Amino acid sequence: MRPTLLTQERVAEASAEQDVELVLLEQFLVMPKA
Amino acid sequence: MNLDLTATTVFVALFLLVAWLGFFAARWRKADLNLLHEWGLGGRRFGTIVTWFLLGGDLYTAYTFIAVPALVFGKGAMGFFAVPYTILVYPILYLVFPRLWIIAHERGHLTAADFVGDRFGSRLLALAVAVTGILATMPYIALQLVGMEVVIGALGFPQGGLLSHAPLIIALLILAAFTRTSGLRAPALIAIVKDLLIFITVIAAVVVIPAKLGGFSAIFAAVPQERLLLTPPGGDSLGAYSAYATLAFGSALALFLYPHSMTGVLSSSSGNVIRRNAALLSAYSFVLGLIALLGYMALAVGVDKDTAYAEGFGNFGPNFAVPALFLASFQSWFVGIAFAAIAIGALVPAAIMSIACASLFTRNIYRQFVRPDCPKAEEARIAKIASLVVKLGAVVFVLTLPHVYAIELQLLGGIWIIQLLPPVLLGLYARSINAAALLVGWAAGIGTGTYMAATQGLASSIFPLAIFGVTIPGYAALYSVLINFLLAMCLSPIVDLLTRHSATSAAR
Repeated sequence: MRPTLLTQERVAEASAEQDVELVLLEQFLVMPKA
Repeated sequence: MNLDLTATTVFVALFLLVAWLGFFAARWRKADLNLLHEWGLGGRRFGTIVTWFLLGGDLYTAYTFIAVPALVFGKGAMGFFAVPYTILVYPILYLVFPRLWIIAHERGHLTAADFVGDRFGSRLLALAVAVTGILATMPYIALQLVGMEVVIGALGFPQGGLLSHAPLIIALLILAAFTRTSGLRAPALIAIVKDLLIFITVIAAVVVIPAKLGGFSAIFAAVPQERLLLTPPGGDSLGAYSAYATLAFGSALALFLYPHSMTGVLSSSSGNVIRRNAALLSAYSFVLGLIALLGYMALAVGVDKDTAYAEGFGNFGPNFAVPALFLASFQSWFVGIAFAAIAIGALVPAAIMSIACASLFTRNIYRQFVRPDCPKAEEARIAKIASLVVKLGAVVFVLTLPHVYAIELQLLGGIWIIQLLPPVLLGLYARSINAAALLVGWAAGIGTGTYMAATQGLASSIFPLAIFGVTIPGYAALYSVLINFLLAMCLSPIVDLLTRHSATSAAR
């Protein structure tokens, strides 16, 4: 699995909060650390 | 020059008021100031209005109020580059920095170097970002003190000798004390007073002085034609036109990379606060345009020909134009207000700059290379010490070396800080860029930019670039960051390929 900007929990939260920007950033950026 | 007692009394009273505010700020939005994000970023809780004052106080510094009109006074229209510069900067702020804020908030970054280090997984690149930030900011702090020294001199304090430095040293000690106690909350609160004073001073100046001189038409009529417009380019050179445009655009690209701007941005409470400020901060650019006009007013009044100000011009050069204009145009009590506005206008950015440098040192040098497991309380303690060292360094620099060094180093600082654009911008927008390629680009940018400025004897950052027989004088920062960008983009896939190749070979 590729390293991510957010933790899985935070991704779920961001989706639930409809934080589109955060979800898009998450999909776009590849962070070196989890 | 004799000491102006009335002006000095008003000046000292306002200075004491903001000193009190600085200490009081520790109790404002109370939190544990032994945590670096509370001390250095105000807990990232500043809303639209506080951020507006904080960023306004942070970016439009004392040196701006002194140096921009001084440039218009000395060189004419070129000085107005500051206006398009501070207009161009806000679309960049609107587009780029809310994105940075979100990531910094999610990942707990306190500095640009935190972001770059985390994003690219490279401590070395983060170190390069931190060192560049600190080196570019230190002369900037020194220039704030120069601005303060100019107004203290204009109040009539004796120049020369140890005693003449006493007011600046006292001001700095007060600054150091409240920065240590209250962190970023102090400049945030003081910025409100500073901006009110600046707005009052500038509005009074653009109403009263033209009224005395017979209106703006009389002022413009008194300014020599060659200072009203940029000299049209001749022959095969784009002359002042390209210099003006690149200076404005390059400065706009660089501004929010400075650690103190980053601190202001990251201390806001959301990305939307940054977006709103990108719209609202233009109000300061309007005021800056009025401030630039003070240079023409000083020319129209002919302050440089008045023997009463000869000593001031002898000590401070064209930087004395605005103080002399105020002394010539206003009664003493208002001169006190105007000078206090400028001196407080030095305190706010100096505090934020020293906090920003301290955060960079603590997070990206001390924590990364000296004590990786240092507890949070120690992190804040080291930052407070570092912020003190930075300020002391600046005051020693200003008091012992000629001012021209601070100006030259600040000019180099602009060229160095813009080299952080590729790591920050590509970190936010490019999916994958190699850290080693960014590091090579950074080194090449710093090297070529410094070389370009050195060829001008460090007296100007405008480099006459000759391409195909056409000379394009332009801002060395912009030219050098282009080289940086190109190298980083071209080298990145090559380095990636080489590392993959050597990894595959090793696996075999």
